[in-house]
Amino acid sequence: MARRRRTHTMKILDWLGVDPMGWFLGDKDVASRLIQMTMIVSQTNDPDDIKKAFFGLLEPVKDKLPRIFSLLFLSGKMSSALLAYELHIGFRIFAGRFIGGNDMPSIVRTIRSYHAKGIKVNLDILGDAVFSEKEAQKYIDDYCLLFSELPKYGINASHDVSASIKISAAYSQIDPSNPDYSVGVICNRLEPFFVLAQKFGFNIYFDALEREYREIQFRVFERMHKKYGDTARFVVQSYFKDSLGMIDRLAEMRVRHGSPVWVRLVLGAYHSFEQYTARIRGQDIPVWTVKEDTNRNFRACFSEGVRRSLCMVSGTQNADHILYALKNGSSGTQLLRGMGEPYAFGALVPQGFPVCFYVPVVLTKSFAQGIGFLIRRVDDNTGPESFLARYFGRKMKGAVRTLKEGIEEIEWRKAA
Amino acid sequence: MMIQNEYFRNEPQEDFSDPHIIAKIEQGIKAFESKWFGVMKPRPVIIGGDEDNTGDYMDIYDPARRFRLLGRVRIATPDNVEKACLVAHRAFQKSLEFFWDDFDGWLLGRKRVIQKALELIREERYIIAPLISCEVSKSLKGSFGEIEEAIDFGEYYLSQVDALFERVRTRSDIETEKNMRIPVPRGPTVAIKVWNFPLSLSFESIGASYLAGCPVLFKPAEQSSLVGYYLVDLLLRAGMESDFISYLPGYGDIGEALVKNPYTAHICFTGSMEVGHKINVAAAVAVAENPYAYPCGTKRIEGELGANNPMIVTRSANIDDVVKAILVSKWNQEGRKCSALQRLFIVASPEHEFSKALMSRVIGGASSFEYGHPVFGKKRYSNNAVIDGEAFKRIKDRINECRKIKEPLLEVDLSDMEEDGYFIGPVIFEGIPHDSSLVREEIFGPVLFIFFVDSLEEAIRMANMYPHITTGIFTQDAKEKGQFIRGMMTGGKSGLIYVNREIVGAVAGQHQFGPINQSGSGYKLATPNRMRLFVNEVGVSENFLSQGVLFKNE
Repeated sequence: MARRRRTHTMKILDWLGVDPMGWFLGDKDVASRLIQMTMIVSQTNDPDDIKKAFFGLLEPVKDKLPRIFSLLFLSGKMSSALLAYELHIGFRIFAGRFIGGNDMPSIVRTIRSYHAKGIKVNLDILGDAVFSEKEAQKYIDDYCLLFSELPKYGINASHDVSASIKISAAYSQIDPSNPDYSVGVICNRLEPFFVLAQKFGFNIYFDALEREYREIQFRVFERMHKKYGDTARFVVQSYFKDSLGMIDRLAEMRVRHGSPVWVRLVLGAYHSFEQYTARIRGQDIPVWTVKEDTNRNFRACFSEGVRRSLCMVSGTQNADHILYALKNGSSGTQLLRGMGEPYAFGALVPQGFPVCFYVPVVLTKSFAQGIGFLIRRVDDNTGPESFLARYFGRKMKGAVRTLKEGIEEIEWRKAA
Repeated sequence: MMIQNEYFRNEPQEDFSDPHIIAKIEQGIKAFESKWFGVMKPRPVIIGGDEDNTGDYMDIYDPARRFRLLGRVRIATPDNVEKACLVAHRAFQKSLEFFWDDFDGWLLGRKRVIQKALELIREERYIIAPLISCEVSKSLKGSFGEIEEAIDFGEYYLSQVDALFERVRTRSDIETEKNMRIPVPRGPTVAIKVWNFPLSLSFESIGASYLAGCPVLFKPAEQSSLVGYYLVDLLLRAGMESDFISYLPGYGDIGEALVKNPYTAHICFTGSMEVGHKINVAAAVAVAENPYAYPCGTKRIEGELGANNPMIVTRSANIDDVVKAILVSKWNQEGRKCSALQRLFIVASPEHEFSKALMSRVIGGASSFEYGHPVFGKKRYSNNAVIDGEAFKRIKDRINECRKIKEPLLEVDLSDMEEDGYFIGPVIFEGIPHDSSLVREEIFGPVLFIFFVDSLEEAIRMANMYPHITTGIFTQDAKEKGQFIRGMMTGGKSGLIYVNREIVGAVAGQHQFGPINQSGSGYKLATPNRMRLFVNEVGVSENFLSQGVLFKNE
């Protein structure tokens, strides 16, 4: 029922031409205040706190906000409870665009709806802000719970569902200065999930992380891949200046272990954060800061990966990259829920290319756990170097057309 | 209001994501073990480059393995102090002449020594880090951070020393007079330094003083005398004149003798508020009783003393950010930082969903810390022991006193580790009266006091009741930020006000670290003003007018 209401509301918003993501694309100050407001709404039910924050943050920029906000100001003046209710509804709609469910039935529905369209699903349980061992254990337990429940709903290996995990969330005391111990703890904690994944035929991707955890992540992956083969899969962020070196290490590992190594090549999830952190630490900026450099590096890593017999999957929203990967031995295309639908339904699926959607989920009643992910998505997509900022709205249709035309021009397809 | 921009590039932090760095750390630990670990020959007192091996010695134990002897250090005697002060006095007089006769050569020599010292610190950091970690029980990451801080201090003062000695001509439009303001070194410095940052804070005082032309009489904390020895040895290897640095390890009596000695001009002291006040009195009384015996005159005291640091959290704050900041501000280095959090004010009732969510996550996070040795063992732990048996007893006694009033919200029991080292797990109290001495006195350990208050105004009033070095707020409300900064500014106790970040981890040249009020003399470390402590400004005024005629032969 709730899902139907959400879908219905989204359709009305689409018809009205209202896209919440668009609100974040304009004025930086407005975007920042909206993000702060979203965070507050996500973490509290106290109507008075919500009203105070709403008026404190948004009243100074009232004139720059979309018209729909005037209704909220009106509600707020009438009743703080009404305003809080409306904002919570709004937050759930916004979160629902990116987050694929918050309990088993809703997650299963999402998987089935993708599967019905011939699309695979990669599930990521959000909630990686982990400070205690209880939270870290729960993070892994949730994965075990989710993936052990899926077969009961008839979702099995044939659905080709995979998981994305963040190893930093598997150990609250993870310490880059002490990698060996951290690797040991994390491997032990992941063990039951890998046993489960192997039993039911799911795969597990080691998701993109901040740079400081990269070495630990690689070592954990190395151990799990050695033991569980290609059930363990890796994510490489091509915005790092030295990501080709990582491709090299993975290729050597493939030879050593003698089993396929699957790599999802993404641009990277913490582009701004890596730059801020490096500046604070006085270190060289580890990421390419010019978009075209990242693009070149993406292409270089992809080709090198294919050349070295890695199973390369593209994980980007950039039509040029997707096309490049398809032309150069791609083993699959992964897209983000809430962003990649036009590519999938407009170009890839009709042409018979394998597509997988990265679907974040939560296992709590509220979507609060997903707030970090949502904010990063907003930040990623509204920055000056962002692809989506450039290909938003009508321009997106152009990008889909480019992709479609590009696919038709692929030589081996023509030949076929 | 005009805001001036200051630019300083910090030493890059160690990149632990680089496997080559991890390999270097391993090698450094091995080298430390073979060269330093358990050397039983006591490290000597050093005066004028001469080693004195005659006195008594003290044993220095590893706080995280309390029965393991790390090394031995000779204890300086009153005679040593007398001799060292005289050597420093003579060196200073000689240096002053050089300063006046060939200023450029004089300054260049000093800069080269500090540059060389920084080079050596960089080269030897993989040995220095485990030494610090073992001697004062600090995480390796923390020790590397301290080394980077020491380098920052050195680089900063190198960048400022030219400006320090700039001579200023005043009223050059008056042709009958030449008026000059000339900075001149003041005299020997006593550096009585603390154990919690044994390298960086010692090097800060020594480096600034040396660059300003003042010899240093260095008394490290008795708990960190090995790091102190390493530093002095390194400075001598860097080419520091042997009569410009003395190494005088020992206890309170050595500090007292240095403070009262006629030849010392200023005292850089880092330690407790109680001792800081005693030093102030002792230095003033000593000079007042016999002023003509003191060639440098009144002594200047630069103290970084104790504090009771507050943090305020309002309900608009992002909980993830707050939890992280509380865990770091309170338990990083087990609360053994003068900027560590002691009092947490939450502007909400204890029953409010925000308080419940925050407290449950803070308690969960604090319960998850893992304790052990920072260097040796299966894991290199980030949470370690308190410094010694005395600190252990003092903190435990305070916890027991608080318990008589109310049971703690959290007390992580590490009693099974007490046999090995002075480990105390995180403790959180709520409901201890704010005006009780149990809350008022600085704890310098892993104990947090929480207060739920009705309003931000009340939180600010309570925060301002006790001296503090740092303070902070977490809020996303612009009005609350403004109210807080105004309240803390006008409260007159906060030396460093943070907004939406942890209240520890000040970085030289970036954050304005320098306590005021009861917590310190207000000099900000790594700022141009800091070096002025070590100089006098002398005015020279020459008249060219005689008999109504101008005789100007410049």
